[in-house]
Amino acid sequence: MAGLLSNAISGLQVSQNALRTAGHNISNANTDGYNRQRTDSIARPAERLGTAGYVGSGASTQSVERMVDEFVNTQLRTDTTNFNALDKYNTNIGKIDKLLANEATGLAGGLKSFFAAVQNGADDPSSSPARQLIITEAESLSNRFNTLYDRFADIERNVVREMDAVTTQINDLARNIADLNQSIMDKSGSGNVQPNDLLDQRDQALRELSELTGIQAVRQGDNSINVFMGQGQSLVVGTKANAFSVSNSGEVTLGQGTRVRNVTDDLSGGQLGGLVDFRDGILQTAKNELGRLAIVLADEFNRQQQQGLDLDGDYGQRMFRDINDPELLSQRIEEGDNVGPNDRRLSLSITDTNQLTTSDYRFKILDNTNNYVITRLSDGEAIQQGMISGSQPQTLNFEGLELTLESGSFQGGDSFTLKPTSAGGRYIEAELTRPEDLAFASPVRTGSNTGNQGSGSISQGAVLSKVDRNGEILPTFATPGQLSPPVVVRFTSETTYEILDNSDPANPRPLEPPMREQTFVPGRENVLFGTEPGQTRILGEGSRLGLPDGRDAQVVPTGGAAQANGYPVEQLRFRMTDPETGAVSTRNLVTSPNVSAANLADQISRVSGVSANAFTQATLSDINIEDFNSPLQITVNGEDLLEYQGGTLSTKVPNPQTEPGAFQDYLAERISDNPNLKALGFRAESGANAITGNPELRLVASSGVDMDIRLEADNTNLNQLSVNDSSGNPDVRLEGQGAGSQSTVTVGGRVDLSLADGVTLETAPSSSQLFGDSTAEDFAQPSFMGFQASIKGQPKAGDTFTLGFNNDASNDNRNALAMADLETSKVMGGGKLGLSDAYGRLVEQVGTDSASARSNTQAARSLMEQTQNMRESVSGVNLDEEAANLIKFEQIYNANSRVITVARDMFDTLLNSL
Amino acid sequence: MRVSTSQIYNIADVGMRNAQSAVNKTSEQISTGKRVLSPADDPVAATSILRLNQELGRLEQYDKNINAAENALEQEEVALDSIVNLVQRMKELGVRAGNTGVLTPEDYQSIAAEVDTRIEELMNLQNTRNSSGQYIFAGHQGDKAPFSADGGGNFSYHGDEGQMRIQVSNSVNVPVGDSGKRLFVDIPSGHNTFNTRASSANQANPPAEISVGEIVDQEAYDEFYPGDMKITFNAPETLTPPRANYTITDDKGRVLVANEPHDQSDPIEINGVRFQVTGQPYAGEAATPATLDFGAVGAVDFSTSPETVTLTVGTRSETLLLDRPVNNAADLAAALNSTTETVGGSGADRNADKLANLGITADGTGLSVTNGQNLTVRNGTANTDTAFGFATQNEGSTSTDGELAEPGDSFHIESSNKQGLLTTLSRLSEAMRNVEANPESKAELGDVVAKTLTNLDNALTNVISVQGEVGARLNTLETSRDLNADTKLYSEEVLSDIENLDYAEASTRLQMQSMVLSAAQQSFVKVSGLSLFNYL
Repeated sequence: MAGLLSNAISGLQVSQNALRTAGHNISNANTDGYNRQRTDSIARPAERLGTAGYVGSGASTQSVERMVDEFVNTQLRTDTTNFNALDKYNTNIGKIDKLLANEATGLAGGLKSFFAAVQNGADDPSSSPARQLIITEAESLSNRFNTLYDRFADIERNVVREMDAVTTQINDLARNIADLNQSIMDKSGSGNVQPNDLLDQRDQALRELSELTGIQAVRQGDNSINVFMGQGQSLVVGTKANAFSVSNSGEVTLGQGTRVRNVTDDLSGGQLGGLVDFRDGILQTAKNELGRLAIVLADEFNRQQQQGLDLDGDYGQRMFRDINDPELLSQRIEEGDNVGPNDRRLSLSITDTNQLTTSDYRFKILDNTNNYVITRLSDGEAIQQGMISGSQPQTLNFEGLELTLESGSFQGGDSFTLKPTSAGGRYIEAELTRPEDLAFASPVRTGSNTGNQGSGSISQGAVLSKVDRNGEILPTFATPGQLSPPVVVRFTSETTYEILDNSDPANPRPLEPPMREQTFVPGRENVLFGTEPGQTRILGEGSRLGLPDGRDAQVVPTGGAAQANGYPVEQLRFRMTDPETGAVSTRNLVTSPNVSAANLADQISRVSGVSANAFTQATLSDINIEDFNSPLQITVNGEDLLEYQGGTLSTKVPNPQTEPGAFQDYLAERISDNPNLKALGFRAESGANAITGNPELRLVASSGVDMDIRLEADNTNLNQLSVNDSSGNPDVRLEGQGAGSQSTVTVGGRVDLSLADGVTLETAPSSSQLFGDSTAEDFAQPSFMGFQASIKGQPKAGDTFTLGFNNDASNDNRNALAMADLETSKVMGGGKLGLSDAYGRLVEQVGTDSASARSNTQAARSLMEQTQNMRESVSGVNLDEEAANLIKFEQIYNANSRVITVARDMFDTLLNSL
Repeated sequence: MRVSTSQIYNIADVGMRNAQSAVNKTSEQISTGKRVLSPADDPVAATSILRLNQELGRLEQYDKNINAAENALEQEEVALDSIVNLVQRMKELGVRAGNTGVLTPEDYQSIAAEVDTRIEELMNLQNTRNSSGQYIFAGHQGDKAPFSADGGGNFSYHGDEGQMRIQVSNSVNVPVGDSGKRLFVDIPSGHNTFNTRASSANQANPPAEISVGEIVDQEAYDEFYPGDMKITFNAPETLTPPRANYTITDDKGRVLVANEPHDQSDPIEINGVRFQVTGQPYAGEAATPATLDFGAVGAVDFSTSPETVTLTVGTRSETLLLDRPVNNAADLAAALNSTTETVGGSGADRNADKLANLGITADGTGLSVTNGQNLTVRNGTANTDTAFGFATQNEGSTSTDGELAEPGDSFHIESSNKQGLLTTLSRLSEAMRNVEANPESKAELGDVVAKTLTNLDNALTNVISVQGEVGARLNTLETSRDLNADTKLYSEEVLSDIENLDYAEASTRLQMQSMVLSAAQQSFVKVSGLSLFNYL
């Protein structure tokens, strides 16, 4: 009976506990992180009834269990981390995504209206309102750049602020988990008793932490949990928690005792990871691309503007702020955590905007060495390595940039981040304010002489560059309001021309260095000047050229061998430096003795990067023939000039004594009309000496062959003529030597060399008798003019074309058209991208990134929700289930009560029976 | 599967949230009419939209450019039309002027008067300005009038050969003007002709003028052609008694006429060309001869061993040979002027020649060069030092007092196979005004009239061919406009395909999405009502 009662009481207790647990479940049905609990009851140890065996002695509650699946919880944390990272990223990228594509806020609209204004200006270059519009549009375009930059900067600031808030939460949660660890260890001290609700709280804290950053939770034997994050940095160990913080520069640091570590790059997942990914990824890219666009636009326009002439006839000023403004050079560099003293000065200038990338760079000097490495951060590739020379300033060139180590104690371990484009959008600024300052005209004007006999025409001309290869302004453009010098192209024959300094149009003089006997190919565009800024010219000015001092006429039997030109054997060493790679190669040439200039030029022209043009010139004067009858013959390169008719001089030959002018004209005509001489490029011009007025016959052989000039004449009276090489050497006199003998002299040619950029010439001996002193400073003279024009058609000898300064060109829009062209020309990414291409690519990149972030967020959300469902399914409270439990346990309770009633009835029956 | 109560709510929550955001997005699409609301919706489409919008903006600008080009070309066309009419009228006058047998000098005076009026009218047309005030036939130099009369019936062109172009499509830019030089100056002439002009460096004030000139003997001129001539005025002192004089040289530097006295009322005639220089040309300065006086001449007998000395003037050098005894300056001068050999075969007989070659005169006082070019005596010996009385070895001695003549004003007669329209008319007018009532003069005029008619025809051909070009350019503009319109239409279509919403599809979608949403809502209401507690 007592057993029955005690059994019933134990049953009451068990069902009471169960009802309490069901009630607890019901009341926590909506508690975050709550896991439903369940009571387990077992039968109490039975009593032995003699041999009959055992009789039950009731039930007791064995444990109150949490219904929890640890694997699901871990999975849930992972999914939560992923979802939150993507969600943060997605929210933020959405902010720049629309910003860029929107017509009102993006760049596309700004570029469109700016270039439309430029086109308008080009349509009517003298119109002041059209010009004013460009000025206004340039301002509004640069404002748009600035606004976009400011928006990016705002977004970045907000991201950093949010990171700061998130880290505070992380620190709170970490503290909370450490505290819970303590409580749990205290409460589960003895046996296997689980403080279920504390465990729930800790799990919830872990889940919340996983929203903020990626974590790993490791359960310890003492029921505490250690939390690690990222690459294994401990956040919570037992009852201790570390603290995060965000530095002013937006770097995340983890405080571990006295040591503070930058863990920004180690973070992954969670809101914090999403924010860092966004800031260091697409936001950086967008900012850099915006900066690159601003820099390219400013640089290209400035260059074009400076290559033109404004309405006042001055060379154009910059349209936008100089991309290499001294103020900006050092701002592009962020110094790392380098050891003191803090004295390092660096500057980063942009040398070639076309090569510019959107990447940042790291310049690092390796620990304990003088070796540096420059790494492109976008792909981590080391693009340049070398040594710190120690002599400052030292300049390093890479990818369109020039890094200058100005001063300071650079040493192993130093690290600098180079951000060439990051702030480009901030600093672009329209500088022009006067409409007249827009340089729409080209500085070059070309013209053809009305007196030209041929059909040659000259192109309008264009400026190639205002600066030489070192960025120094070319002498051509150094003086405002003029070309220095203007030039005149004069055709000396149908296939040859010279280019002269036309500063004084009445007396054109040779250029510095001269351009003489250039070859013209009829019927083709003939480009007048070289196009390489580094090109030079070397002139054939050696002492043994032509008809040098000391050479005398020789007497040979008629038809005898020609005199040698006396050119010495010399060694010519051409040294070629590849402008791209810097590799040096050399080519050696040894000249043959007495080689003709024609052959020498041919030989030299085969050296790559060198072109040679040869020519020979001579002047015949002082023609004095007293015996105007046979034997009399003047011979040039084996061709007899005087016509004979049956052994006597033809009547066509004028008498040189009585008609010296006609005789000279006759010789000129005979030379010019002779097909064999023509084939050698011979031409002759009958003229008069500019000073003395004495008649003279000028001979030029544009091929550069030796000129072999002979006179055969009687030797009784005076029969002579003088020959010189038109360069100041003394005359050599040919005199009649009687029939069968010729007085002969050879005039050698000259070779002018044009050397491409990076090609130099050394001669051995250094004082060359062909080219002059090769060690002299002005041996190779820069010949890049900076402008260009071409002539086509068929000009005639004597035709002239001029290239001069284009003053008063109010109706010239050539430079404006070149500016308008910048809208579509490929000025970025090594000639692959135009301005709008690059911008379109940015929009596409952000859009793609945003789209994938969006769909990834959705996927991660579903994954998380699935896992949440799994957890709910295992641990969530089902009210129907609990209601059923309530009924079930109530009935058990009632039944037990009934057992007590039975026991009481039995007791009463027993008592009543007494 | 076990389902917890909160799951029921969660599932409904998620379902309704998704359905709501879908409805929301579709209704936003419908209200904006745009399919792509942000680049993330369709990144590729977003870039295309950007590109197409830019393209459309450019096309719109090209349309404006075409209008501007059209205006410019139409204005040019109008001006050219008037010029063609005017030239035709001039041809009629020319034909009338050809009646040399009938017309009297007085008649010619009146025809000339009309020609002169027309010349003025023509010049005004050639100086046409556009609405921006730019001279349309001035090339790039639109701010100043391209044609002006210089007096003497001469006209000059101050513009350049520049040609403005306007971009009318991505790949085409069209010239929107022609330089006056090409249209009215560089007109092929029926005969070899010339242009006269005063040098821009002339200093006389008021400037002396050169007349437009005429060809009086075509055959003589053809022979000289294509030579150019330059008339340079010299210092009056070069003539005795001093008076204004000029020298004519050709383009090779040969002197055709030297120191000819100048009378501004007399025409100058040379090589078949007649022209007149009026006014007082600046005469320049005469040369100061360069002199190198002998020093104390010492006695040296060169006949025992002849010695040489080199004389240089400018770029010319001659080596002279001394082969006779020199006792005084007169001997030395004689030795330098020698035409004979004292020592056989020495070559001293060429000395006089060589001096002449250099333009040096040697007399008892020393050496001189009249044209003012300084001379140098060098490469001598100790003996020649003694003979000349100054240093002759190595670099020798150089005169320092020579000064070249400062040339006076100069005028150019430039041969040409082209003759400007104004020049042609001006020559006709001048010829008519100078005609006399005799057959020779009339024959001369008849010749001029014939040439004028040919050249007017050439001018017409030239202008009409440019008119043709202008027409062709207008056609290009029209084609470009059409092409741009087509491209625009096509781009707009593509843009609309990419960017715009398919309303039918979107409203069907909206219908379905709202159905899903309301189903989710209804099922939630149903499910949430189910609870065992309702029955307790």
